[in-house]
Amino acid sequence: MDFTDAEKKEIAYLRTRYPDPRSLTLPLMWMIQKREGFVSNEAVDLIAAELEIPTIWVEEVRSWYSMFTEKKEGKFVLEVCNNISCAMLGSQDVIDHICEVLKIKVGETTPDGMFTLKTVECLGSCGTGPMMQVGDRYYELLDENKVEQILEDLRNGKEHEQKPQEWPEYK
Amino acid sequence: MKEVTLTVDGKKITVPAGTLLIDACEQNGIYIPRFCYHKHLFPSGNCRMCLVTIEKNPKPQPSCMTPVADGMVVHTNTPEVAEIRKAVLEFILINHPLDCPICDKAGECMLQDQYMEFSGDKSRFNETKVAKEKLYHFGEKIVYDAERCILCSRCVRITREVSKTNKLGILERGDRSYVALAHGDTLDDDPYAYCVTDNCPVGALTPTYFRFKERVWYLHKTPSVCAGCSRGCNIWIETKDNVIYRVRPRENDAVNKSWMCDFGREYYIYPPKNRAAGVKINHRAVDYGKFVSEVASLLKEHTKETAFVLSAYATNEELTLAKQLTEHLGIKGIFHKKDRVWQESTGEIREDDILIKEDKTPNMAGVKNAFPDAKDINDMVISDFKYAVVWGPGAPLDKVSGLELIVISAMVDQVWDKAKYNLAGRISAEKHGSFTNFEGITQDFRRAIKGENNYDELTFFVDLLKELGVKPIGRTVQEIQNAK
Amino acid sequence: MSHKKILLNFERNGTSHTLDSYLKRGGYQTLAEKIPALSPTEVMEEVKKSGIRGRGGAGFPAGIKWSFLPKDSDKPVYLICNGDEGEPGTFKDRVIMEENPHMLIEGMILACYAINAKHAYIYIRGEYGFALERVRAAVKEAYDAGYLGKPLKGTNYVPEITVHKGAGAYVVGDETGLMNSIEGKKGQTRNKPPFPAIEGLYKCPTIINNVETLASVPWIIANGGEAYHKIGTEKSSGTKLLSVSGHVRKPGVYEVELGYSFMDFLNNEAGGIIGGRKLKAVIPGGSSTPVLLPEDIKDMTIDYESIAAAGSSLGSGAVIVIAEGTCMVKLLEVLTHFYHHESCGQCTPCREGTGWLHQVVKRIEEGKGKMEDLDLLTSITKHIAFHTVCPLGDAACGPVDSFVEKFREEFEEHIKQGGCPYGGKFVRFQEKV
Repeated sequence: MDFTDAEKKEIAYLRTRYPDPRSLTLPLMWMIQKREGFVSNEAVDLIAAELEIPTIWVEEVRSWYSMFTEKKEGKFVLEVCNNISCAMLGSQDVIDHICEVLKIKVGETTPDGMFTLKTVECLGSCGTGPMMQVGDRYYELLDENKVEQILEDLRNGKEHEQKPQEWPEYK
Repeated sequence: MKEVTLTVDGKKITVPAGTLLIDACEQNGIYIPRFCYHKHLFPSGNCRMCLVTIEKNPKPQPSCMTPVADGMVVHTNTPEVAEIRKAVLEFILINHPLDCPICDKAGECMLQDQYMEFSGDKSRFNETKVAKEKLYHFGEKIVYDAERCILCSRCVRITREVSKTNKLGILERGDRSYVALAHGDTLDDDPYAYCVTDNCPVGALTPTYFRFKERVWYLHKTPSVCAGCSRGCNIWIETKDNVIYRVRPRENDAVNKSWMCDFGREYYIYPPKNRAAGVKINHRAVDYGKFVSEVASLLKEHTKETAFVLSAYATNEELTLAKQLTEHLGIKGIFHKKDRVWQESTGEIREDDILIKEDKTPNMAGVKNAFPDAKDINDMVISDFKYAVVWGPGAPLDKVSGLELIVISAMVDQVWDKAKYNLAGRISAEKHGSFTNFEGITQDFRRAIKGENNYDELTFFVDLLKELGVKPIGRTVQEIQNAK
Repeated sequence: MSHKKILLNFERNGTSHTLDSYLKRGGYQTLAEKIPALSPTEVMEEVKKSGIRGRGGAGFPAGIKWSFLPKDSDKPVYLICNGDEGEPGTFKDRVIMEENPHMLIEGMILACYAINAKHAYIYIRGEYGFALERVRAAVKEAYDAGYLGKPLKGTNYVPEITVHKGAGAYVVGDETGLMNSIEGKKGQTRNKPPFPAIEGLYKCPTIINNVETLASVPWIIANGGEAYHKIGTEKSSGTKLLSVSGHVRKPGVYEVELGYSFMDFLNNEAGGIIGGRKLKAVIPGGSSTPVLLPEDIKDMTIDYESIAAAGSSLGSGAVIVIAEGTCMVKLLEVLTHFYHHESCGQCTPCREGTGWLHQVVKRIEEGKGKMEDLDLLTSITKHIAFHTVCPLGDAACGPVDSFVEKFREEFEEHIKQGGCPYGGKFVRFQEKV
């Protein structure tokens, strides 16, 4: 495994932005995760070698931050917020519905490798809950019907255009 | 140095500026309990056991992270502080397996000791404990039990600050955290790996060589000095029934702080197989008295043709008598040698900037002090001699093989095999004495185990001197040291 | 009441984030018009005069924080913008970063100039993909337009900003955790002292401010600290973004002048409770702040002092509204799960205690509680709060103590019934208009 030429250029630039190369640990891990979908042991070695830091330091970072994953997951990772505001607005129903539709439990991946379902803590979209994150996109104001449509769109490769949050008005 | 005065529990104490509160208290007889703090590591302030209250400070402060300040008023014996300590112990214990009956650390465990001293309360935790890996091999030398671990991070800091291998880290977060190595890594090539086991406050890190071997309260601890190199790390040799079960560093700020290398430790734990035994002439066992008198008359008769090769494993007291002997006889051909030299093939480290020295003998400085005129054996002109007293192993065979040899050594080597006279000596664990390290620091050590089928060199020199009609300077280590 | 709009001074028409749009509404004028005539100390003085308090949650006056920088240090100074918005219920910085990023950048440039920062970092939580996209684009625009990377007009000072992406950790919202994270380490917090102004990022003097705080600086410099101080109350000056969520008819982010009546805010801006239900409780400043009952908030105004007097805290301005029919035990279970999940693992009381709290609350919610569990909970919190390295421990305790105190009967009911009276789940009241 190696960095691509474009990545190497980016690394050279990033090195000018921080006084200590160790600061590039998170940026480089994001770089790899964006490309591979997860951060393998091989990637950890690559980052450690690039930054000339002990491997365990890189592993600590991978393991401690909740967004880095060590193993390959589904093509789409559905991360449904189950914290206070979303929970009050019915996130559990959404989660249950996804489980029913995809026939998986939380933490599992569909057999076709398409979807992994996770519950996560507050994603800062409390005014538009229930919500979930897929990749770096937010899907807000979810309900059972909307979530089915989203799964369908994801499966069909339909892009989700991210917009600023639009707050609803309820009865 | 600037000093500051503060008040602890109503008592005024004065310490150098910059002293940490936890040390200031300890130096003045007030022990503050702790887990993560270790005086030879940077403080991390994470266990919270050492919290104390400081007036004008709204929150209790970790005394291990707080430098003293003039006029500081500190309380360590209030009900509030006592309650904090109980609470921290309760927190630590909720996910601790309490498997003390099968834990090697039991009896010397900081968690056990501090729980008995500062709490004793029954746990109120009735939930499920976090399950973690109980047998994580950090290579062949060390085993990690994540459930026992209290995440004090001492081991992580040891690999960071002492061995500087940066091998250990803590993975995951919250109460799921555990100490780990990078994938595929081991501690086997960390030359100070065993230090993490000595300094683990609980039984999370245990050396495989000691696991389940013996309860620590049955071990007899003898203060000794490591003979593995010229650093002279202070050690405890821990024995039972004349067997060495464990070796640990003995704290000494001037020499080795709280550390020692693994090679030194293994030197004691895995005794060498090539130990010399018995007393022989012409490869036949003889009476010790006969040996002494034959050697005495040989030396007396052939003084000028005898080379005397010193051992850098010898104690200073043995060297004193050897000096008395050679001076009395007028032996001029005196040589020193390295009894053991570094060899790459053994995987041992030649030298580092931590503790390990290139000179793999413990007392070359003592040899040179006692015999400043002794020459290196490699400069010996063989044709000058017909006989040689070779003391200790490691003499170059090409230098001595043509001579008639009297070998006094704890180890069998080719020179031993070629000797006409053989007397098995003792290793430092088997004797009292002192070594002088490369910095000129002289350190005493005590006998940890009895020698078997071998002879104390000191006594041999006493007997030799007596045989020659000379009163030895002293007959014991104590007498010789007093005579100096 | 109509409120002064300092931060949300734009129309939400989908272009407010661009440099063009920002310039049209008077953006970056302070750099051309004010800076040439102001020394760094004068900029700092204006911010001090404004009385603006840190909008991240702690409420410490920003100008005073800046003045803690050592005067005679030869080390470089760093500025960090804390965009690791993670306090449950909070989504107000997101609005600035997504829709008004240039105002934040302008505020950072002014702050950098005031403290002579060698470099500034915007740390944005990793989950905020869209905010990251927009802030990065805005920073690029600002570099291209010469607001960054070139000397400020009339000075030799060159501002530099780098956007740093987080990776999922609530505790990184703490300033020292965030610094460790930028340094490429786990975002575990550091013992204080030393405080960041003395020894922060890369062991250098560092100022770290919340997004909202920094985004308010351009207005303060444009209009003067005194003008800002006139808005709001004497001790709580200025405007505050409130992110309101939960059982309200109109959730969202609102900018209000501090000192505004809480009930008016709830009934007007937030539109009242959904479904015509009764109010049960309010968490006024993010999940860590103690919960309040309807009677606690009757006369409460939205400012640091009044909310503190009511027994809670303005915190990050995240108002979570809870309607009758919601199980408070279940709600606390959600919160204790969160703190357990986010505890960094470094220090003992929080690492061990947060999991214990969660297990006990979960057990009560599931009907397996005992009466003595309630005292056990408050005894555990007593031993976590103020005994930990960072405020996460304290944060985990606020909800536990206040929920058990204010809704003790509901907890007791769970225990007596041997189950949850609400069926162990939340009822969905909301229905879109």
